Amino acid sequence: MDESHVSRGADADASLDGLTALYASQVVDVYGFVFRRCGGDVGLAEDITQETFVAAARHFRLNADVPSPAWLYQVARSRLIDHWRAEARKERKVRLVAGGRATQPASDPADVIVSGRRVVAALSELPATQHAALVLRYLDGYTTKDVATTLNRSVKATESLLARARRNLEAVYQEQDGE
Amino acid sequence: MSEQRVAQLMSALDSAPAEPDPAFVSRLARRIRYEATEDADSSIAAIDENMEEPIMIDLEMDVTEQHASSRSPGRWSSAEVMRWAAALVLLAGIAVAVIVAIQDDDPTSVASDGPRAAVDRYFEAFNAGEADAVLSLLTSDAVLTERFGAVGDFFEFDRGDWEDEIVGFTSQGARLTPHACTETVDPAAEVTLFTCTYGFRDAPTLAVGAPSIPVSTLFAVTASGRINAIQVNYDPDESITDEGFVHVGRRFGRWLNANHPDFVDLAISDEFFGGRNQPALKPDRMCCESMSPTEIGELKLEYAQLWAVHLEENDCTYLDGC
Repeated sequence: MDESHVSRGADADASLDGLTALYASQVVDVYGFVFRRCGGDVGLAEDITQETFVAAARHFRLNADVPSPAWLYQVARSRLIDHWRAEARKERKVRLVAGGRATQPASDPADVIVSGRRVVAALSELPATQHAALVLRYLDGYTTKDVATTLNRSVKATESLLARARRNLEAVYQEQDGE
Repeated sequence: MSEQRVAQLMSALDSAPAEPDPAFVSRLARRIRYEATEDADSSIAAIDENMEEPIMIDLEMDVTEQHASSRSPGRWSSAEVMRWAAALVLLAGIAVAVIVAIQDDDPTSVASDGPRAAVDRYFEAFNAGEADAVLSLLTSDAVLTERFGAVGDFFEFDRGDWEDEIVGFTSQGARLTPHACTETVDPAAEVTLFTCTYGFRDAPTLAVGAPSIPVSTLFAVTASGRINAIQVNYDPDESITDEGFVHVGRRFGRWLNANHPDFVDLAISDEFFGGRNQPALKPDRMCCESMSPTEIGELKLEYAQLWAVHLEENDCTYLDGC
């Protein structure tokens, strides 16, 4: 700990301890929250977890306030949505270049061990917009209208998107069952 | 898949193991402490572990060498190096932002040959299959509408839906054949209006050599050479007959049903492609934009390729009635 930090005094230390405690108690859960939603992508889960806690630390520095766990999950969810939007744009470009459907990463059979892992792997096979729609609708409890707003689509369009996502999830999940 | 089944699967996610790497947790802990306290030393340690080694070495060497005359390399701490690097990145970012801002206001940046060039480029980019280039010609608040036939309302697209449509058309190799454009200046709106007539052909239409769909489109081009409104009127004279488009009408619907039944409910609007009753069906068609129009384009391309093979194998032409 350097001198500038010492000069902040005992109150600042106590608050910093609060932030440290928040990190210690939430980092595994926040990581898991992201990991399960992003299709088991370890690198992405680490990136978003880091961005989330760095945002929390900056919030603490600027406001002298330790954010709540709910605040952390809101930030993590926002980062995930940003990621999905970016992925959707990339998929669109890939399809243009390839002249066909975007290739999907193959799932590691070792991941398909228990039901939860299979769903994580199945989600990773879906296009980003379908993945996002399912997570927001069925995991985060968004209404279809909220999903539409989040993904910048009309409600009708989102209903269609969800219908396709449900079919594809089942299909991919069953494929894994046969492997 | 039912709602209950999806809910069951998604709830199983909670049982999926998701333990972070302890090294990551430890590294991030140091980073958090720095971000909260501006403790540079612990931050650099965290950054050192995260950054790729060659980049860090090169960066330190460059900065220290540039300042060798006034400061010995040994006096540059990692924190100073990072501050300099951050300052350089910031300056570069500002420079890019300024350049972009200048380009945005520069009337020559998009259409150096006048407003008409934007329209010409729209056709060129569309026919080259360059969806991004087409979209780059539009202002961010462009209003995009379309209608089939001589009467009825023009339906407005939001930007995302329009982008999807352009992507779908270009991905299947659809073509526009310009005929003529007339120019009108609207001083009140500070735009130049172009009414252009052209022929539109999607992949199946191209594959069978069927006539194009006549289109009349109004483009509004700003002084900066960007398009801020497009009003597309397909078949404005209602000259299309269903008979001339059997390759994309109900036949396409039947092909979809036989080969891609999962897509039928989403792409069914295309069964009525070219029909006179399009305006009435338009609201239903709007439901399909999100199915990923690229996929609709891919389906049409697949369908078109089968048509081309069929014509070749039978040594006939669509127009001859083979």
